[in-house]
Amino acid sequence: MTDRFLGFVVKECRHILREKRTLAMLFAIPLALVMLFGYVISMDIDHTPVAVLDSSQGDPLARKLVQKLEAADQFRIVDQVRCEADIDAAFRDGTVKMVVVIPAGFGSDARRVEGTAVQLVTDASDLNIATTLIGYATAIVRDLNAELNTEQGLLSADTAPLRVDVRMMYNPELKSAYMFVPGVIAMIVMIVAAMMTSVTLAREKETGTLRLLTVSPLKGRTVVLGKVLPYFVLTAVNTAVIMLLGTLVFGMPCHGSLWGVMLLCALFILAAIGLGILISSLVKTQQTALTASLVGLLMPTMLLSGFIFPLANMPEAMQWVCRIVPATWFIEGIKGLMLKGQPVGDLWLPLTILGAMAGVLIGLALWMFARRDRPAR
Amino acid sequence: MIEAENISKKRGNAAALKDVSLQVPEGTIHGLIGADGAGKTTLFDILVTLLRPDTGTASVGGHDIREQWREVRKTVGYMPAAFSLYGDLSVRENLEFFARIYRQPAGRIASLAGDIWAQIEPFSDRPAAQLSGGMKQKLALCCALIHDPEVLMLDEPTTGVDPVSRSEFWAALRKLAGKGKTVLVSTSYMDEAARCDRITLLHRGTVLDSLVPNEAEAHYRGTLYEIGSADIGLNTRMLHILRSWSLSCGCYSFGDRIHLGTALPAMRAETVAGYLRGQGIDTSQVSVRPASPTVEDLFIQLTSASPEAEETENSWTNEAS
Repeated sequence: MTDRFLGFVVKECRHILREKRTLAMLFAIPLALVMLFGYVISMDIDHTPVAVLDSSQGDPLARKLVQKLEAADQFRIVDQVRCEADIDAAFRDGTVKMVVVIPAGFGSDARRVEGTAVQLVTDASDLNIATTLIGYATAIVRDLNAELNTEQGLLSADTAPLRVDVRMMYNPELKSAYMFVPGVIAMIVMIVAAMMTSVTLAREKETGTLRLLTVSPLKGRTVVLGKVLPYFVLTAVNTAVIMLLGTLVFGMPCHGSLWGVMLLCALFILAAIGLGILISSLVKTQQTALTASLVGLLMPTMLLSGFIFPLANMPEAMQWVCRIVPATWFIEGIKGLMLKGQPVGDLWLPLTILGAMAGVLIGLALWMFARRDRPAR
Repeated sequence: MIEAENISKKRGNAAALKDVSLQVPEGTIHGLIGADGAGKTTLFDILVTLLRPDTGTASVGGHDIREQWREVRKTVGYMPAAFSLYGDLSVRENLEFFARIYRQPAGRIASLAGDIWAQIEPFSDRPAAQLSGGMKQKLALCCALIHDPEVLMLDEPTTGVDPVSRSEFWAALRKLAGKGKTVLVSTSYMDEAARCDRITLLHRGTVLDSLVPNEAEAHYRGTLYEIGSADIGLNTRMLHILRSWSLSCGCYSFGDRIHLGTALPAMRAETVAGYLRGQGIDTSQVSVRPASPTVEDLFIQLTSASPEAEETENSWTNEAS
């Protein structure tokens, strides 16, 4: 068994290494995603269009605030927003990235004990820009606070008459770039582990090599395991690369157990390979294997896993459908372990479900190929 | 040694094989001759134990295909109809792979396949997909030979192969048979029938005839005439005229000649020429002479008779049911 198994694995590795273009793409896709997000993150904030919605009717303090904003290199005051209702449209057009809302009675309230608040409304769909803008604007308001306190003979640190009230629009959960990393991994795993396994097995069927293998002393289960091992290693390496890039470039944290993360990834990859083998046993050609993997695996992984659309926003029935998609449990587990820092014990549900899926799917694949050994009816 | 008795197999509702029997002794080459869809591949599938027959029994190398399929697989070297190796792997890598799964040293091939291996060895590092049709088939034969099987089953090994390579391929098969191997080979080329020790004519899943190739004349019913002239236009006209002749039992072009079968054993060539003259043909430039029937003539005679046979058979089954 071992000698034949190794022979088969060597052959598989030769197939993988020979397809240079596919191999290059497997590592180029995550890299491209990183560059894309990396570019967004490092983008400089320079003369970003900012609107002021001043309800204080020419209050001197309000004018002072606007002057200070104007003086900062980061901002460029534009005259797009004249009333509350304009904000939404301005954000949608992208003509404005932040709106500074100055309430009525701004100057007089600021001199009272309870003080007043400047509202900073941002378009948080671009979270990196939004947080940077808020940072700069808050610094300016703090400056103004200090000046007001000196004016009234108070120590600058005593009380802050002007508070900052931040409102993030379009992204209330404050999803940041690295929240996409688990989703990207889920997709890459589906492409490499499920799609490629199903296509290579379908190719053996299509070209007739599987007939030769069936007639040979090679057992069906050796064929399955000989496919699982190389694709498992390939996918694991790919996953590690994305994780590493996520940590180094996005600053994605790993608060939880690294072993837990590895276990979760391993189970998810095995489940994906099992799905791939299952697809290949149902189709006859590489083309159908490819289409079936795209529609049957990649689409649900993108749309029904919480990667793009949050599960909580879906109808009840749809949420149940999402629960049979392995990627749903993988993303939940990764977020829990890496981002929320939950202990492995708390994530027994995603781990158990992925483990069960991997076990059942690989077991089914082994059974189906063992059955192929016997003469067909 | 291959023995098959009354093998039948249904594919869907249609019968792919009906009561097919054949015997191939050791050291002989047995040809399975038939057009596409005759059931050749189904028969191969059954004999290499990829498929179970519905009824009938068969043994390969003395092993029963139903009960001892594992032993059968060890005994058989199989070449499927389509090129079934790994196109992206080189010649050597393909051979090494099959050597490894059969637990054989790859170097053994030189002694097993001899000439055939010598012909492809110069291309060892070339990807199999980039070989010519003939080279691909030679490589496939080498891979099928790596475990020194007693029985070789080759499904249309020479289809799409150039004449020179075909000839080399057949020479190699003859050598293998000389070493005592049992060879079953299918082909749709009639001219290859003569290379076999014995042939089975297969048509729509049934055996039409089984014979030694040079016995075709004895199996042919009636007389065969070869008619021809240097004028192609005249040949075409004669073909049309002879086809509508009441004494004709099959008339077809055969190379640049016309072959005419007649049911009457004692008919003379002059009768044919006389009929042609009666139809307004100038026979001075036309040669009409009796010809000895080839396997192809026999095959055409048998297949043109079979639709009627099929009809009677259908009416029988209707009565029975």
